[in-house]
Amino acid sequence: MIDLVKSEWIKLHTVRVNYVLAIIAAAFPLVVVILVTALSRYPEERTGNDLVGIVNGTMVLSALLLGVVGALNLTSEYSHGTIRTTFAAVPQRANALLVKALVAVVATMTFAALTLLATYGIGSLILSGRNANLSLDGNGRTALMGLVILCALLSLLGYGLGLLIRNSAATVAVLVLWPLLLETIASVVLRAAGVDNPLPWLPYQSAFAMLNTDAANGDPSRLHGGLYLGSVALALIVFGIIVNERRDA
Amino acid sequence: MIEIQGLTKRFGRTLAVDSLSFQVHPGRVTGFLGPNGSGKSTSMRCMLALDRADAGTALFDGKPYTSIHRPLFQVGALLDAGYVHPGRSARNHLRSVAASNGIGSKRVDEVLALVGLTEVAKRRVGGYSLGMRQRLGLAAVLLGDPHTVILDEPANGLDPEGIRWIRDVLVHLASQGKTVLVSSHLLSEMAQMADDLVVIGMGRLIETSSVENFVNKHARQWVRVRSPQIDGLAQQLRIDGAMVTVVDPTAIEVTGVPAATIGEMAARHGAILHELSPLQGSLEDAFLEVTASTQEYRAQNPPVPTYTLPPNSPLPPPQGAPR
Repeated sequence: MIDLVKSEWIKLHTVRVNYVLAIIAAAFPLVVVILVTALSRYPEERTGNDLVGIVNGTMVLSALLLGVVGALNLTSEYSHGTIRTTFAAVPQRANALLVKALVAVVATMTFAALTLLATYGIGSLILSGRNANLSLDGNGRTALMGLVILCALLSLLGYGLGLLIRNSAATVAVLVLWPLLLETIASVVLRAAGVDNPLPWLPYQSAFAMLNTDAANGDPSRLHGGLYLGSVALALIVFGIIVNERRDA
Repeated sequence: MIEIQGLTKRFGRTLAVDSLSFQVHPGRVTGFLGPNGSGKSTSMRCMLALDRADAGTALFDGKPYTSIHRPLFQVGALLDAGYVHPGRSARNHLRSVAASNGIGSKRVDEVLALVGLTEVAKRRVGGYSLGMRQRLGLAAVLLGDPHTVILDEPANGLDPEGIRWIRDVLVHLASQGKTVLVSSHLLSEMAQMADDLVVIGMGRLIETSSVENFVNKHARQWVRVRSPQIDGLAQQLRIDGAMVTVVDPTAIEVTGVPAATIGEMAARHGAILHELSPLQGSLEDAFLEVTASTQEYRAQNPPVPTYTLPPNSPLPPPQGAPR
């Protein structure tokens, strides 16, 4: 198990594209938060939860990029044929695939948490210097943790899609189009079928409830959103592993 | 030892490997031969459980590949030198493979030195030539110093020095008692390094034997005779039932009669001999003979200039004789 973790960690951190995506994922929210907090009107009226809203709003793109890293981590193995090297070294495919997912999700959560801390920290430094009172309540802290979990779930979703699609471009396209196209279509269909609020039925969009700083105003709830997307991602991974056990590598 | 029993693999309606059975013995280099599309690579992938066989078993020292814990110590395989991430360095590629079986970085550096890639180990593999990738693939094979080695076309892309090097490596591994199965289209190389052969066509086993027996059984044998009195000698040989082909006005090639008999005949007729050479076809000739009916992809032969007898020659070339 430890050997597999070492192997997957080496694979993850020795490919340049992962660094490029990680730098973009970190730089985008940092730059936006610095600009917003530095140029904000009436900074003294900003609260900690306002800053959480800004940070989470910009880090959604980072979460999507981390989902892409999760997908590429696997699909690049198929596109370059290295999955055969992997399975030749570890013929127990389920073990290899589960450890790969585990390493990707732990790395994603660690990276997301560090980026979040840096982004929130710099934003709060700037706003504090402009006389803002940045008290952070429990909802704000939960929303920050929710973002880290969302990053992890999107990474798992990308990984699960990659297991089934096994092609980098197609997997990334489905991952990106899922919220923009698939769930939009699903929303229209659900409304046409008489569902007044289709949001709780849409796994990707309902997961954004985890970023909500106002718990009382949540429909779906944070727990519902997280569990729903998590269940979909895990189901894709389990199904993907079963399929990969049977298919030729 | 590798034991293949009834291995079968289908791709849709295509039967790629059809009830293939053979054994590969330790201490010998076994060549795995077959025309393009004969199922060699598919068979190798099935042995390693990379392709799921529809039937049959492949056992390594009695165990299926999937039940081997840390298989790099048991079986080293190079199926395609292209199975590398082009953005990763050779050293990191090997580190990731080695780590999965608990092999440390020290061994990675050792095998890089063994295959001569130490100088370029930190360069990205995307910039490597095919020959360098083959060397990298062989380094991965050697990581666990395995008992069994399986290589699919390892000499592809190698220069003559590299081809000789890989031949020496495989012969050395076999001399250490390891089981070596190698496929190659370089039959002259195979003739020099292989002890045994497994020949397949259209997914089926055609023959398994030692290289020597295979060539003796399937390659043509003939005698080249050169003499100033070649016309008379040729006529006498034809009368005795030999198949005679005219090579040039002073030389013939004779099939079906041993060199000693030809020499005695020449002595009886007072013919001077300038050459009397027993010749045998190569492994390539034997292979082409055996697999002629199983060639899936075959090009037309280009026109080959042939010697034309002078109008007054008494000896027309017999039909079907070797050129």
